[in-house]
Amino acid sequence: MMIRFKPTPRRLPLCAAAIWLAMFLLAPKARAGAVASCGGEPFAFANAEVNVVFLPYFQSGSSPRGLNGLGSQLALLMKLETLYRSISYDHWGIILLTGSKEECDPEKIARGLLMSHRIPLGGRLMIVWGKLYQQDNDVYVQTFARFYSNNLPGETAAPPQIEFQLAGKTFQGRINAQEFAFPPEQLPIAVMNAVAGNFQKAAFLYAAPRLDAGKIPLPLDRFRKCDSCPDRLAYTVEGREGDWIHVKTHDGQEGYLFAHPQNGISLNQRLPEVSFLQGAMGFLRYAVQASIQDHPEWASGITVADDALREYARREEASQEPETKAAALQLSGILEFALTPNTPSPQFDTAFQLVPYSSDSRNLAAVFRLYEEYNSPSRLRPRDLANDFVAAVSLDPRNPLALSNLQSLYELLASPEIVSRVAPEFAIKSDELQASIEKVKAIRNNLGENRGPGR
Amino acid sequence: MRSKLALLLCGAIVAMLSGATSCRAQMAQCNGLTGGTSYKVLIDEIQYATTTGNQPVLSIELIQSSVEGALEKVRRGILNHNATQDTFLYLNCKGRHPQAASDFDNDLVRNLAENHAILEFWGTLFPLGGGQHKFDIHYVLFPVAFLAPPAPSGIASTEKTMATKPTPEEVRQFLISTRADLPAYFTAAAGVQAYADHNLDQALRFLCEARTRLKKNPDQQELMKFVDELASKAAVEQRRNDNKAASLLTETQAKDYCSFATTR
Repeated sequence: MMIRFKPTPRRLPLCAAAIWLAMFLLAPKARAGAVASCGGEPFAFANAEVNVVFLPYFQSGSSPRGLNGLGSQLALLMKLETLYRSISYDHWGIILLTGSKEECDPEKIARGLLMSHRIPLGGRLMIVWGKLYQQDNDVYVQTFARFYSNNLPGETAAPPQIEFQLAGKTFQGRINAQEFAFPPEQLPIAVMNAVAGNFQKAAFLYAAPRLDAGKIPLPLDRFRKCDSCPDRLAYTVEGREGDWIHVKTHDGQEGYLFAHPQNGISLNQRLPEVSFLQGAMGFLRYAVQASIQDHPEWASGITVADDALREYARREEASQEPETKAAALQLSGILEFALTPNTPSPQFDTAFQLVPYSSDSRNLAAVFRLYEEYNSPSRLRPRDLANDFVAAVSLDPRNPLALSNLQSLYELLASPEIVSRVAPEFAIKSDELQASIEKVKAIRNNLGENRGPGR
Repeated sequence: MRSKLALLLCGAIVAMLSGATSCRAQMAQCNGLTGGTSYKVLIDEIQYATTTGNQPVLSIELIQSSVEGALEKVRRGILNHNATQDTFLYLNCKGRHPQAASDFDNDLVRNLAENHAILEFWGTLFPLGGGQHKFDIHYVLFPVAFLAPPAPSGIASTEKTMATKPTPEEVRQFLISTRADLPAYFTAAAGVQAYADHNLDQALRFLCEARTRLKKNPDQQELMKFVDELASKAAVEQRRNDNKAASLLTETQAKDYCSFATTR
């Protein structure tokens, strides 16, 4: 392979945002990565459909070892592993932010990105962070992630992740949580040593996809110590070669990141959240208000994301955090619905069984039960359908999706063309339906929630 | 003897609540306990019981980290519903280690409940002889104890007998294996407190979550029944208000609320 990159530290690419954005728009697949500082105005790729921001893992409690160094190493390896696994997707940005614990607070970073419109209206963001704590010789790690979106005017705090119409009535659902806690995992000394060893190899930009090629260090320390650093190291992702990611900087220099080091540790084997993050990123990229029929090229990315989420849900460790396992099943179910809308996944019911006290889980299961029943030749059972949504509403009386769905359901059931499809033993009388519609409207008005599709 | 001990401990905690410094060896102060409307979780020490006095088994920071890790998803679930960041506080009660759950008499429970302390947690490792040890983890659910006296309501424990003196790591592993208990007791306590605060919407959700979690614990069926009945009571009350979502429930659904809301 021809070496096109000259490893001269002075040529380290620290590009201005304007140059970068132009370059990002020109890139056909528009996949990008960056390393920047938490301080000042945090960085993300404004033109990406989805941004994933990794923050350092910070020490929780006391430890004679001092774990923040390990936390920074782990964050870089997680970022690179996600880069490596996201090559099937397009129009994304993956950023590693470094800095102090105070500056790298997830909520503060999210607020900065959303308010500065670095994440534009309608844009999606996932922030990943974690903590490390020590007992005796072992260190434990726990990862967290959260979805954010810069809501369009009129959207609710957590916008719907699935929406369809039946006979002109809109039904919406969302997964049971927007924030995910992953099972705490033990990192024995051997694994920590492997993390440090892999970090030593991964913290460079190589001139060729070989460890003995020329290399320059990634400026991680510089960004970590920079309080309000306006610069960043940003690059487009050109492709994957074995365990390496081929990148190109704004001035045309090419290089390689050692993204998938597996010496002594497989991150995915040790930390099941790696699969979840891969799937969730694909979900945020492709589960948008557009039909797969209009974008057949999305199918492979959706399949990859679905497989990753299913892999996470199958892991034994996932049972420790049922809320996150339920979310994985729901995200996977929505992706499968995008590919094959005729057969809604039974995963929504499985997810509901894991977190039956969640209003959103009940609502999502109810939406797909309705969809399946409506599209099957069998008779409708209005009483059961309504009870599903009433239960979802009662578990969270401020859930705008469940309230809106309940009103839509009553209106759907009141329409003349539906009456003939109703199983008599489950029927709701016409006057009861009208009274229920008025009651739901009154409740929604009382909450100030009576807005949204067709309202 | 028991009443003397209770009085002694009561005095210690009342003194603690009023900011006094006496008796700290038995009941160390928890900063942030008094005042405010935040729901508070008191995280105490896990100690070896020895003839010369108790010794900490794990660092309080590690215990706090484990407890926060187990409860974070519950807390976040609530924060997603428009609660503020300080709705729940975890209080690091370094040096604090009650002798037994029975130390908490009605006055003390009332005092703590009025300060919105909802849950207290501590552990003890007892030598049984022949190398055997018993590890007890205790929980006090103050709103449950306050609403449903007399004692021992609102008190729960998990215990395990170990063939040899466990290492700190084995203690930690036991703590992790009982992680499922914490969200169950936390949601039960928070649900009862929300009911007492007349925040019935939040009470309904918490109580049904507690019921779901407690169903898996055969030793806590009485507590499960209590939260289940309180949820139904709250649903029946809410149903009377036409502007509330609970008014959509039928009388039958409200009277067996959690069954209706959490099963299909």
